[in-house]
Amino acid sequence: MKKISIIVFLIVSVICSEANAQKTGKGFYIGTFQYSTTFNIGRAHDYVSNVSFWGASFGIKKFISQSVTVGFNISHNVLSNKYDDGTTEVQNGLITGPQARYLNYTPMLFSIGYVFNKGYMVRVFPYIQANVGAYYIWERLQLGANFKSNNNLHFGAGPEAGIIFYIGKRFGINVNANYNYALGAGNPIVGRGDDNSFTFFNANVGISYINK
Amino acid sequence: MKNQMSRTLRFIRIFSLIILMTSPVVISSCYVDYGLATNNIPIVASFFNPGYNFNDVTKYYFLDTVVQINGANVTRVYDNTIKNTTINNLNALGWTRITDSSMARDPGVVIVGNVVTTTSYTVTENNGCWGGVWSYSSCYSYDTEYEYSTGTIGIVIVDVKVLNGESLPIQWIGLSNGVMSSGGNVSQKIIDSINKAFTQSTYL
Repeated sequence: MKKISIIVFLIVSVICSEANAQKTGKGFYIGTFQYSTTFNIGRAHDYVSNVSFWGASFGIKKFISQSVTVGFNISHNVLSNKYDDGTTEVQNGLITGPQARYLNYTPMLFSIGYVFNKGYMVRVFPYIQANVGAYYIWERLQLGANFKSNNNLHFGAGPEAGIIFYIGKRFGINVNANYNYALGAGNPIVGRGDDNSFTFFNANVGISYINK
Repeated sequence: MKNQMSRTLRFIRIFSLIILMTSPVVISSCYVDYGLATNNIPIVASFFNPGYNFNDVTKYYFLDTVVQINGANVTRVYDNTIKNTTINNLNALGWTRITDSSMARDPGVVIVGNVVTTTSYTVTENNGCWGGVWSYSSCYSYDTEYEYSTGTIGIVIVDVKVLNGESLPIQWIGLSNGVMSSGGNVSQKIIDSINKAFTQSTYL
């Protein structure tokens, strides 16, 4: 506990240090590498309910004015569930028994955002962002010794909100969350409807590099 | 000296950028593999024609031969187990067995038969991740070949009064699929899986 308190104190000290203020504005760019977790929602949650702690994302964005940014993000999230005696609904049928479900998301998104940088030296950069682009989604259903796979490229979009805590030497800690909605594409691997859309939420933490 | 430092910094930046951009790809090569353990079977599947009203069925004509399809050459030792278990389940539905095939076209009568088949699989794993935290990490290449055969038992229901042109559509099929070499009490596995096919088909 004492150790954790010291670490927290050091981080807060670094973040709050006057020396660690950074100016941003037109011409600056921010590159970010993040550890990413995923929480499925709705239909996707019905397929894989486990939270994924396996994922990463890389993003870069450039200031086109004092506070407005445009950029590109690519991520990868790996999810799976194993059921010793699961039930899977398929078109006009039901499959029961030991089975495993796999789901990989690879969003490739363009972004436009607004950074609350106030136009002068700051230590904390809150931002909001809209992402839009393609989601490559890979599904695999293992039924005993049998496999069924599905790969589709979905169009999708979602909002993002985050904060960059500047820690000095042009680096910052980035904490953010984003919601994703990938529209239906192709046929669903499970379920009795035609809907093959996916909804999920990411919580991310990583390192940002700020430069001009 | 200044130029050299600038070049070094530029190299570090480009190198970092490449590392950052390729990281998602490297990570994507890792995924949880639950394996193909033989205890992952059997599975039971049931499919039905949603346009067919099973409530109208009161009688069935049973085909007394277990048909081996797709060139299967399966032992006949379990044929009686398959047939008797199927008949027990049909009777439990309240359906009455008829033995006169000429009555198969009567209202409320369906034809029920059993099929068996085998499929041989060869799976070659040449990459993957094994062990470590959360069953990830240690991604490496290796060559491992799995060879196994699965057996499938099918229970098929057709209605000769419902033709689709020249073909006779299946109104319901129950399938049990498992690895044949997995051992254990095979007869009991057959009984359990056929029972399960009927139990999960609550519309029958």
